[in-house]
Amino acid sequence: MVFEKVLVPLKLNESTRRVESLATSVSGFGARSVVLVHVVGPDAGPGSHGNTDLLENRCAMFSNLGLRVEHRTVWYSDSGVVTRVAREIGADCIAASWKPKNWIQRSFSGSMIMDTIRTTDVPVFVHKQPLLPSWSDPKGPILYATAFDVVDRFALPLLNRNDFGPGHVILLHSADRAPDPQTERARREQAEGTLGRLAARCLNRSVTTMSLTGQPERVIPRQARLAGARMVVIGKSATVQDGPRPIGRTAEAVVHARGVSVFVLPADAPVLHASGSWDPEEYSS
Amino acid sequence: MSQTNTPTERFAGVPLALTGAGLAVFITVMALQPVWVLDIIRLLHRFVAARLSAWYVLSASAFVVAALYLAFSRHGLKIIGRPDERPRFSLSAWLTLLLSAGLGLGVLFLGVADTLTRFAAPSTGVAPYGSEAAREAMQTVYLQWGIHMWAIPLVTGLALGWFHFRRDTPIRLSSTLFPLVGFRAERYPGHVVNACVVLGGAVAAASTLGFASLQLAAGVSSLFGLEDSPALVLASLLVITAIPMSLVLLKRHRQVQLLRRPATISAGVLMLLLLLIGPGNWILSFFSTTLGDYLTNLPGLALGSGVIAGGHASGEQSLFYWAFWMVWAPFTGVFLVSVSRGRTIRSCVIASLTIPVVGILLVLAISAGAGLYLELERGILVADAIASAPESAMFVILSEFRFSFVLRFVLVLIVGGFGVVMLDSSSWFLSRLSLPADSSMKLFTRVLWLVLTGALAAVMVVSAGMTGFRSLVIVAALPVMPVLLLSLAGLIWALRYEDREKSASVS
Repeated sequence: MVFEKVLVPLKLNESTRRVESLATSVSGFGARSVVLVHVVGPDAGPGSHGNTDLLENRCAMFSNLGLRVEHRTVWYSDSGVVTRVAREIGADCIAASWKPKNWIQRSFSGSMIMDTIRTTDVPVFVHKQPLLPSWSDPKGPILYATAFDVVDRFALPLLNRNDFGPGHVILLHSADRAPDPQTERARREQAEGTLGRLAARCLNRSVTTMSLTGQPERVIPRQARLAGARMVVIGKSATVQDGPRPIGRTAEAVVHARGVSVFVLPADAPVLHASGSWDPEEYSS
Repeated sequence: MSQTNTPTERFAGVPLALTGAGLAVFITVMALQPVWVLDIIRLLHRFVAARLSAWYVLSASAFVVAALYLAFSRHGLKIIGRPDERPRFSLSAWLTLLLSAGLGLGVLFLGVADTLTRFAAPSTGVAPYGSEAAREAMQTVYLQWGIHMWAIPLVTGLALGWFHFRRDTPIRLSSTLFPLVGFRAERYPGHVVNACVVLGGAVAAASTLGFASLQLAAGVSSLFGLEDSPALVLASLLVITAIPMSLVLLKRHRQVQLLRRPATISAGVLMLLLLLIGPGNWILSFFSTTLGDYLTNLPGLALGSGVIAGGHASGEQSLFYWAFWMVWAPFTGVFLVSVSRGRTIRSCVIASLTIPVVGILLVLAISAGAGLYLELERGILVADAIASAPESAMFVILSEFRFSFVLRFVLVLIVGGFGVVMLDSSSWFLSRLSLPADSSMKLFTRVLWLVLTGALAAVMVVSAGMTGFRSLVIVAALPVMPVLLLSLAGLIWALRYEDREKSASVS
């Protein structure tokens, strides 16, 4: 299995259909066990964490798909609660269902998933319901948006694994146009060459490469929808700085894009072992 | 061995063919049916004045804001040219070159004539022929010849220069649009853009040539008592065109540029003489007062399109100036940026928006101020005479001072010199814009542009006069304005791309 323990933060007011869909996706990318973490909001009344029937029902949805399930209830204390719990239980992935918010809602109430992506050092899967069926086919390809940075070292072995989800892989690189024709031609040639080399490393998959010109935050969701991609795999920013790495403009925009499920990989990613699991304590620098 | 040309090489002559053919057809039709063509030009002019004038006004102010942004943002510290490039000129030589860029034909003709015309017929309800009318006229003319006049070419020049010096692209407006439209900038859309800019440049050059001819004829008439007739204007035009043409044909065109320095020095000496012979103290105090008025009222003046005042006068006059600076922008801009190569964007912007601006405003204060002094202090009525014959403005003013024959004779030489230099420079630049740098048709193209510019000026002078030129310039600037704004967007894109490149290489 690719992931030993996947943490799934859950609110009990999420619709059954949404949770079912999330469970199907989590079982599809190679998880062995799932820890459902019921985050009780700060404004929740007494007894809101006691709806054990509903929680059991949610657990059953995951266990019916062959996943080992346990659950916990935690109080929302701050935006880093999910990250902290993930670290405590030794989760190697976090999977959450995305509730769309417009920019006004985001400005006022923020987003727990974005805070989690920002603070965690494990991969985060953000599941979204497509607005149109053609936007995301459960058997569709996986689109890996590469920025030709350190994330590739971690992403390619992951994509190469059949238990990460069967099917076709699209390697997409998109970048802004260079200011002059000569540099632009060189940039395109270099991008196509690098994509070819990356594709050659995905031996277990059929791979298509795409090198496109344009703002990545717009190009990636558009291409994902056009291809009916199952999910977009994208890395957080690889910029070196003090403190936690930022999400990056592109990854943040793709996470916010409607109807496109996203698998966000940290740039300081744990090394994926050929044995089928990784040690979360071991990091590639 | 077969040789295949790239699309760029294959279509390199397209802007030349488009503009050359278009201008030739226009000149022929104008010569045969001047009334029809003028009616169309006036119709388009009225359309622009009624529907699009605000775009011209806002664009002109946008260039000022853009220039200040480029200077005081993080881009201001970037070097024009290669990052390690050293300045080509010493500080004093550079500042002198920038100052000389401000002295030209227009200021001694349009600037003076428009000030006095406005003094005689102010648009804002101020009583004509009074001191308030003088201050108001000077404020408006400062606006038209001040910071805005320099910001438009400066920003355009920075875009052209940045792409040419830093990214090794041809010196064409289409190159600055590459970040926005990609390889289409090298194909027909790019050629159409270049053709519009070249066409605008040809109209600008022809207008200035026409103004020079009118002024030269007025000067000769004033000196020797000849009748200021169309024949005299055409003869002046022929002389101004013939000199660069013959030197280009003899392949001695570099000698034309030798005229620039004496003409500039003579203009400076003329202004100094006017200060010494004329009311120097009065002019300098008038300059400081009106400069204060201009700086105080700049935002309101700059953003006023004249709609509330009735859609004419200051708005209409400024519309022509914004259009004129836009069609001239690639020429002047490339000069400003070429002499600033190796210096930072910040120093180029600060120097270009101060040195030539102060220089040109001082020249305006001396030349137009002398005319206003005659009206206000000595009771000599020159404004009405100038309003009816604007081309004779400076000669009418100079004739009222001591040594007037000498002063007017020097002015005739200055006008002729500047006319020849301007025509030679513009033909060189038009060739540069319309052909690749390594083209074998350079001589033919320069001659072609000299002929077309001269012919366009001739038909316009004969059939339409100054008002026709003004209308034609306003219409010609219509396609140029969006191109200049897009080139600004392209420049900012390129500057930001460079920042991203740098931060990517650091990480």
